[in-house]
This record gives sequence, structure tokens and C-alpha cells, in this order.
Amino acid sequence: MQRFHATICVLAALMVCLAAPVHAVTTEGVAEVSAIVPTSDVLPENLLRLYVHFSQPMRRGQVRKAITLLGENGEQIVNPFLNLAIELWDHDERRLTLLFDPGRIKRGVGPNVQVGAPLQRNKNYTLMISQSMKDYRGKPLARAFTKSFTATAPIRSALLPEKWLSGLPTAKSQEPLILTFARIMDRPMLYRSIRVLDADGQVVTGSMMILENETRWEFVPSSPWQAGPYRLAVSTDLEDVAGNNVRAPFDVAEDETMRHGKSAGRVVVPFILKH
Amino acid sequence: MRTRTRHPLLLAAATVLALQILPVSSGVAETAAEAKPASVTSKLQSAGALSFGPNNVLFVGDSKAGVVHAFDLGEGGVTSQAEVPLGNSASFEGRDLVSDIGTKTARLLGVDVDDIRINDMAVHKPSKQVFLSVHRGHGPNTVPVIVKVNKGQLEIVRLKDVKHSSISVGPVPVNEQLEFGQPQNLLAITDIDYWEGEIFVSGVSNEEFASKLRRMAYPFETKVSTTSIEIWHAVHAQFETRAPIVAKEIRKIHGTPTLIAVYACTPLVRIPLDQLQDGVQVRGEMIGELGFGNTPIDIISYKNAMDGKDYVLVTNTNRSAVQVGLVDIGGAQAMPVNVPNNFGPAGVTQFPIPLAGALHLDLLDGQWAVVIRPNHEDHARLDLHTVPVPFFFDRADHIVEMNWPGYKKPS
Repeated sequence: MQRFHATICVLAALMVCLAAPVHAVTTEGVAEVSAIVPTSDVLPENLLRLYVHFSQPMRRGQVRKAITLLGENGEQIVNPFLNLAIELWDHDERRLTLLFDPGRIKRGVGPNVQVGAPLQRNKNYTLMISQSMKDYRGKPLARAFTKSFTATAPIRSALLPEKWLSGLPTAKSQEPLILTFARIMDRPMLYRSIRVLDADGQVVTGSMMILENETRWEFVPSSPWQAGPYRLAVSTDLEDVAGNNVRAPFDVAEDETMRHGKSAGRVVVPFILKH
Repeated sequence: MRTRTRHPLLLAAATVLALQILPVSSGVAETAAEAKPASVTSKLQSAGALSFGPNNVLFVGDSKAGVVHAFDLGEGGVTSQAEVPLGNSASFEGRDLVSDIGTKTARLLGVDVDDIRINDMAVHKPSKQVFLSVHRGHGPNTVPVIVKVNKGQLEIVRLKDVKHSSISVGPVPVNEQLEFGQPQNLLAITDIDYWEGEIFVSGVSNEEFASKLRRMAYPFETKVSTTSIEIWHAVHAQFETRAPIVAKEIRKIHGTPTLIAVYACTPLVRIPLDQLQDGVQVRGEMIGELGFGNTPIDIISYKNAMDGKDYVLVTNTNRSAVQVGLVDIGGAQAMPVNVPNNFGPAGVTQFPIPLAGALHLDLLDGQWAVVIRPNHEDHARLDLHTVPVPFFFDRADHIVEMNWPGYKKPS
């Protein structure tokens, strides 16, 4: 029991850390955009959210003016994001979540039918973060920041964890356990939603890596693997970049299998390691 | 391109402990001391959605801490504003309760107007006193403050010695969730409603597309009493989706307590409260679309003294506000499911109300509402202004013959 709690404490701390910006954060100097996630420049047309990481805490209330999405001819895409009165910043106000207007992505909803999805496949887009965006001290960014990407076919299916195992390590080694997703996953959720359990059901400690533009997950245990059964535990709330989760696609079509289950549960994928 | 980011577990944990503890504690405490608004309380990490409960209990949504606070302000915590003139209802003219409220709030807190942010407003109905949740400063320097309006003057609400309780809006801590250890501060709390011994809390997550509605008993119980209801949205029987609620109001419709809610994707839905049971997936009955390119801000309910009927009013970011009759909400058929195209606004009868630009809205009494809105001549300036119910229309804002000098009423 004691071991269990110790593990949890470490994990809880780890998760907060891993939710931090992808690149190093400085506390001094002029603020800049340090990363935009997902990192790929090819993204599904039903992309649900982007994360913009800043090197400094930022001021709230600037998103609508300072962040724009441009089409391939430089035209501004009108109202692509959900304009909530409350902006979606993380605890330290360094990471902004830009949620595409779900009413425009959900098939059959009024906004989707009338004006269509914000992104169209095979078209190019540029997300622009204006230099005028101010950090918490009122100083503008060091420079404007852009991310260009191409929209590609939508992803409209639930996640299937049972298909992710793509490389099993051998027992007594510290080779990585490899998962490949065949789609771009939500990076912060990926860090906190997958655990490896040993034969006793305890969480295996180690380090995880998110690779190849959030399409691959590797886990290296802090002690060598043992021969025998392990389990992969995946939160049912884990999502890909289009909001599809383990329980259901983002919008479930009537001919698709409903596998709702309970929120905040888990699915388990057993595997056996051999010498 | 193959990119590698490695996070060694123990090193990461140590780093985090340092990162997590320092900014939160030093930021709030130091700035509070510098700022000297004596009311600043360590109980609040942030101050967002406001709502009044029974007696003089003020609920404050604290997204940063992942909790809802309940402050029992007591008899001395509120002051009757009954003598404050609210406007001339005969001529449909409201008045500023506090003009240039942004600058005055900033002055109260000792900073420039750019360094404050008014997050929400709620009226304590029995006294008609207006309360504001305000952030002073930005980033790690943010200090949450509750401000009230007392006969045209702004005052800091001293919360330090106020009877206080709070409840988490994070995940219910069952073992499965501990395993994944979801941080609690993912939820941006958008609305709190009190109804007969319970609060209903909605929010939007900054990570997963969560659609949980929290239902909790008040007074808060020591045991975990959070009820978590997953809200779904059926679209024309073709698709269904998770649906976060942005704003909601609870009213009795034909005697049945009913949640009237607006989803982030704009449908107006109704859900009888007795359907909101722990762990269930609820599909709100869609009765209207509020239109595209628009996000709802708030929803309030009131009785129209002119026709004696009950209504709700939804304010919007990009469209005028709309008024919908409770009778219409109760009697509306769920929107047809076999219609391929559904152009918003549609569904239940909606009557446009000229409240575009209102940032915050609440009722003062049966005749008057109060808004925080940009000044008509100087949009950078915010005024706390009254508008007459039920039209939410201030004649003085408009060029009408009656406002001209020398106008004489026709005999």
C-alpha cells in the first residue's frame, strides 16, 4: 500500500510537469511562442484543438484580437475558434488552448451545416500569433509567430488501444515499450492517460517519450522488465487531436458502434514479455 | 521528422515540486502584501463565475484551484441598495450605477485599468447589491478580489474572516482516476447555479472535450458528494456528441424543475433535473439553435410584468441577446430530426433583444437589470448601467425625438 501511494505521488508530480511547455521555459527576458502543439504540419480537417505555449505567463483577454487563422490566400478564416468569455489557459497561464468551434466541427449541427468546418482538406492554413500579444508584465512578444499546416482527411473513429502495441521489449532488458497510434494524439493527455501495470497491478515507474509528432509513445522502465504478464492501462478519456476518445468518436454516426462505457474509466490491454 | 522529448521520472518530479510550489504561493502572497487590498484571501486562487445561494452565501468559481467556494457574507456583508435610484421606468431610461467602472475598480486596487479584469458579476437580489469578481494583475501576479458596489462606491469585500467552505470540481477520487491522476485545474468554470439545496456547476476543460455537469449538495458535505453527469447532444438522430454547457438556468416548467442550458456548439436544450443522476449520460432535448459564429455568455430568467409571463434571456458574444418564453421552452417540440439542414437561429421562438456588447448581465429586481457594457461614446470605458426589464432597452442610448432639447410631449 505504501508503495502504491509513493508511486502515485511521483506520478501526480510528473503529470503536472509533463503538462508544461514542450520547450524549456525561461522566467527572464522577452516572451515568445515556444511551441505549438500538435507539432505536425499535416493535421486532420476536424482538428479540435491547438495548444500555444509561451515562454512567459501571458495576459488574458487578448486571444480574439491577437490570434488569427489565415487561409492559403492570406484571407482570414472568420470565427474558427470557440469565443468563450473565459479563455482556456493552464495553471501558470503559459499554455493557451485554442478550441475550434465545436459547432462547426460537429456534423449536422447548425453552424456546421451553415458555414461548414473551419478547415477544409487539402488546403493550407497559417495560424498567426501577433507580436502585439502581451505577457503578464505588459511587454509584447519578441516576434510574431506563425504555424503553417495542411488539412488532411478527418479522423472520425474511436481510439482502439488494443491495436497500439507495436514493439514488445524482451525481459531483463530496458528496451522501450512502443505504442504507435496511426493518428496524431493529444499530447498533454497522452502523458497522463497511459500507464503500464505489472503482474501485481502496480504502476511501473520509468520515463516516457512522445515521438514522431504525437503518433508514437515509448516507455522505458526504471528497472529491467520481468518475464511475465503486464497490462497497459488507458484512460477512457484519452483523445486524439480531433476529440475522438477511447469510448466514442467525437461525433458518433448512427452506423458506428457505440462503445460509450463510463467516463474516467480505463481499458486494459494485457501483454506478456518473454526472454 | 523524428523529435525526441525525454522526461526522466524522478528528475521531473523534483522539478515539478519546485515549479509548482513556488509560483503559486509566492505569487499570490507577495503581491497581496504589496497591493494591500486587505480583503485578499488565501482561500481564493482565482475568482471567476459568481452566484448567490440561500441567505447571503456567495458562490465563487475558482478555476485555478479547481473548487467552488461558498462565502457566507452574513447580515453585515451586504447592504441594502433600496434607496439607490435605478432609472426612470416610465421613460425607459436607465442610469449608470458606476460610470467608468474599470478605472474606478483599478483605482480601488491601486493599479492601472489595464491591470484589472472583471470576470463576472452577480446581484444579491434581496439587497440589490452588485458583486464583482476581479483579477488584479496578470500571470503570477494575479490577485483575485471580490468587489461590491455600495451606493455608487466600490468596496473590497473582506473575505478573510467570513465563514467559508469549498468543494472540488475535479474528478471524483476513485482508484481508477488516481491511477491517471488527472489534475484538477483543467476545468474553466463557466457557470454556477443554486437550486433548492444544491449547486450545479458547468465548465469547459482546457484539455479533453469534457461535458461533465457537477451537481453538489449545499451546505457542502464532508464526504464526496459530487455528482457527475455526462451531457450528450443528439443531432438529428444521425450523430451524437459530448456537449459542454456554457451557460444554464434552472426554472420550473409546468411544475417540473428544469435545466435550460446552452451548449458550446450553440443549441438551446432543456433537461428535467430529475434526469441528472450520478454517472448517467444525459441527452439534452434540443429545442433551439442560437446561430453560428457566436458563443453564449449568460442566461438569466425573469417575469415580464407587462404580460405576466416568464422568460429567459441569453446574451451572446456576436449576436444580439434573445428572449425565449418559458411556456415556449416547455411546449417546444424537440427539433425535428429528419431535417437535413438546420440553419440557426431556429427552433423555439426567439425574440431579439438589443443587448449586444453586454459583458455581464444580472437582474436587480422585477423592473431593472444591470449590465457591464462599453460606453457608447468611448468603447474603451466600461459602465455599470441599469436597463429596464423586460425590453432591456435604454431609450437614452438612442437618438429619439423625446431626447431632443425642447421636446414637448404631444398633448
